[in-house]
Amino acid sequence: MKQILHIFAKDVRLSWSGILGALALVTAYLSINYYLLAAYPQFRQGGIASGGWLAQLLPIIFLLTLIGWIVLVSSVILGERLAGDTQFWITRPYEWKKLLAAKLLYLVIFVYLPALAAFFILRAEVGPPSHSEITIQGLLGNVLLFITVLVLPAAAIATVTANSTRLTWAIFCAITGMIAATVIPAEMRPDSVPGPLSVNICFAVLLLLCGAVIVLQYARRKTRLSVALLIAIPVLIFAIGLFTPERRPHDRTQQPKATVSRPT
Amino acid sequence: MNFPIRTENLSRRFGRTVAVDRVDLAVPEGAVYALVGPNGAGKTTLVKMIMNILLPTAGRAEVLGIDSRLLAGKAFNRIGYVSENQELPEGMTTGGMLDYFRAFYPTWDRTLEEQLVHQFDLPLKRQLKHLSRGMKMKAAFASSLAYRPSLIVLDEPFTGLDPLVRDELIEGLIERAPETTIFLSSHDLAEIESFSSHVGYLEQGRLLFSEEMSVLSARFREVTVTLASPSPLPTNLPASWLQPQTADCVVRFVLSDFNEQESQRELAERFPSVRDICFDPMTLRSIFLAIARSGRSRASSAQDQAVAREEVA
Repeated sequence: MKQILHIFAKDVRLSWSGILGALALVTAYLSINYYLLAAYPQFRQGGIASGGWLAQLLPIIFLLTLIGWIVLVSSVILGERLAGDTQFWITRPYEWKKLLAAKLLYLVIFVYLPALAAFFILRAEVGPPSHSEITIQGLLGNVLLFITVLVLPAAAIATVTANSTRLTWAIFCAITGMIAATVIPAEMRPDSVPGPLSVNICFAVLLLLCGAVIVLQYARRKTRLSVALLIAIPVLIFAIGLFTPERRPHDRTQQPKATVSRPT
Repeated sequence: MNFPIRTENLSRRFGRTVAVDRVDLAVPEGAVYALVGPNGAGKTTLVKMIMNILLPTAGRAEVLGIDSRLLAGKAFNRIGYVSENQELPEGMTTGGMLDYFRAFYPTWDRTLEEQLVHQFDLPLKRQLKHLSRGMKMKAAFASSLAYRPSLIVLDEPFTGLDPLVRDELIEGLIERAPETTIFLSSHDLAEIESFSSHVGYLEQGRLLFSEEMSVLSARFREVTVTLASPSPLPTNLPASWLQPQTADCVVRFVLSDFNEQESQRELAERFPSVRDICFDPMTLRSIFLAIARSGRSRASSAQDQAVAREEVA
C-alpha cells in the first residue's frame, strides 16, 4: 500500500496542473447547468435548444472534459511508460501490481469521482427522471460505462506507446479503425443491423481486450502482443457486425429523431 | 566462490542477426568486471539480458542467485543499474528524484546520499530535463549508489562525457568498489583499465576471453624481433600471433599467449637468424585494438574467400 500511495503522490505532484484543468472543466459544466436551470425554466424540459447561447457551450465543455480526462490518464501512464527498454523504473524495485494499482487509484480519484460527483449534484438539482422506465441506477451505470468505454481504450493505447506524439497518432488510428469497423459492415448489409446482444458483445470485446492489454503490459511488457490484441478489437467488431446471425431489420424509412441534449 | 552474475550459453537473436552468441560468463563477488568490445559487439544486449530488460532467445543468466527472467520488484533493492541510454524522471528535480527513490529502498543511506550529492556537485533544485548529459549521469549514479547495492551494473556509463565528469564518476565508483561487485560495459579502455580487476572481450556476440586483468596483462606482449638479414614472414604462424608485420630486418606482432621461456624458444626456432627479441608489456587499449583489428582482418579475409568461392562457382 505504501508503494501505491508513494507512486500516486508522485503522479499527483507531476500532473497537478492537468488535474486542476480537468476539475475546472467539470466545475464549469456544473456551474453552467446550475445557472441555466435557475435562469431558464424551460431548460429543464427543453435542454440545450432552450437555454440560450450559454447552453451551446455545454457540449463543447463536455467534449473538452472527456479529452482532458483522456490526456490526464494517458500522461500518468506515460510517466512510467511500458513500451520500450530505456525507462528509469524497470530496473527499480517497482512491483507491477502496485504500479497498476497506483494508476487505477489516480483514475478513480481524478476521473470517476469527479464524474460521479457531477452526476449526483446535477441529479439532485434536476430531480428524478420523468420517464418511469429510467432509473437513477440505470443512468449511473450508463455514465460509468460511458467513461469506461472512453478512458479504458485510451489507457490501453497509452500502455503500448512510448510518447505523447505516438499516443495521439495511435488514438487517431484507433478512432478511424473503430469507425471503419462499424460503418463498413452496415454499408455491406444495409437491410439489417446487429441486434442488442451483438452490440453488447462488441462492448464486451472492447472492454475485455483493453483490460487484458493493460494487465499484460504492466505484468509482462509484451508490447507486440498487446498491439496485436488492440488491432484485433476493430477486426472482431467488424466481423461481429458483418457475420452475426442476431440481426434486426433496419428501418430506412424511420429517420433518427432530432435529439435534444438534456442535463445528465 | 560466489558469482553475482553467471551466464550459460546466453544468446539473443534479432531476426536473423545473432547479437549475443552462447556467452558463458562468471563475474566473481567483489570484482570490477569490464566487458569490452567494439561497437555492435553485443555488449548492451548482453547487459540488458542480465538485467531482464531483454529476454534471451537461448541459454540463461543468473543474477544474485535469481534467474534473470524473474528479476523484478524487490530483487532490484540490491542492484544498481546505470546506462547511457537510460531515461530519468525528467519532470522531477534532482532532489525530488532522490526523495522519490529513497522510499523504494530499505537500505537507502541518507548520509551517503548527501555525500554523493556533495561529491558530484548535484543541483538539487533543478529539473532533470534542464541538466546537461554529464549532470544527468551523475544524478543517475547518485540514485543508484545511495542504497549501497551489492551489485552495480553499468552500461557504457562514460560514453560522451567530458574527462572531468568521467573522473568524478570513476572516483565515486572506486569508493564503492570494496563493498560491492561492479559489472560494466565500455569501450572507454583507458578509464576502466585503472580500476578493473577482470575483463571480458566480446566480439560479434562471442565472448573471446574472460579473465583477471593481471592474467590478461601477463598474457599479451608486443614482440619485436630483429633479424640479421631481411626475411619474409614464415608461413603457418600460430593463431596466437596477432597482426604480424615485417619491415627489413624487423618482425613485429602481438603475442597473446606470452610465456617468457617458451616464447623465447619458439621465436628462436622460427627465426634462426634472430639478433634480438624484445617483449613489451601492453596497455589494455593496445590489447583491445590488436584483438579487434586481427578479428576484422580474419573476418574480411574469410569474406574475401567466400566471395572468391562464389565467383568460381
